[in-house]
Amino acid sequence: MRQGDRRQRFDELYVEHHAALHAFFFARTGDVELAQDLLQELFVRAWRSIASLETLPAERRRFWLYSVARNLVVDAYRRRGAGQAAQERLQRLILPGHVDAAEHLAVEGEALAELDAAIRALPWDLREVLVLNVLGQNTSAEIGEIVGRPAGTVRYQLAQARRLLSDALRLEEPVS
Amino acid sequence: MSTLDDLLARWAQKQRLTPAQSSAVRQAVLSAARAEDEMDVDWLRHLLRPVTVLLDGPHGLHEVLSQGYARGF
Repeated sequence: MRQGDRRQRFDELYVEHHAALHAFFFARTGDVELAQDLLQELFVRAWRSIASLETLPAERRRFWLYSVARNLVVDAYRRRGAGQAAQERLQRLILPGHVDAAEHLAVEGEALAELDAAIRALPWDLREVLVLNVLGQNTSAEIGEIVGRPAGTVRYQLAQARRLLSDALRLEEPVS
Repeated sequence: MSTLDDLLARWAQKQRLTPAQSSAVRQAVLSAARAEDEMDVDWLRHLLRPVTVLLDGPHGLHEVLSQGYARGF
């Protein structure tokens, strides 16, 4: 493949997938900087494999990207030597950079700060599907493929996450 | 009063990569890829060095072979 073609294929792949993959890394790690590092590493690997990725149907290409992404998250935590610590971190984090609560209140406003805290307090599996949906703008079916759960389970978990957030923020959820 | 959807949309907007961040990641990937490509060329050159030294040296294989061939091997 010529260098120009390779670059063009790469750009198309990047434009199509980078935002959703960033959401995936953010959902899995809760760390905005780590999410960017992993996104970069993933696309370096995609660049190396661009010629073979090019030959795959869109669905398989997507499967490849998320398989590599999952492995990168596992490797990142393994490198940090923190199996248990990683779990605790995932339980604890969703906000970028441990923003101080008071500072966050001042900058973002009370409602968003409360929402941050409520998302952080969600069980990790609910938080994961919520972030993939809200930040990654993935459908339930797409999230199901990414996290390996049936789409119906994802829909249920999304509804559960929203209900917990509404309760925490004392909002009324519209009946669907 | 904000609805949950409004709040979530605003929250997502804050977490999403900005165009500048997105572009920075892309540039970093392309720089890393370029460095790798250059490194591969060096690696190949290094790998072939025993052969290229024989061919290009002062009493190089290329010259020896050419002379032998000229003498009518």
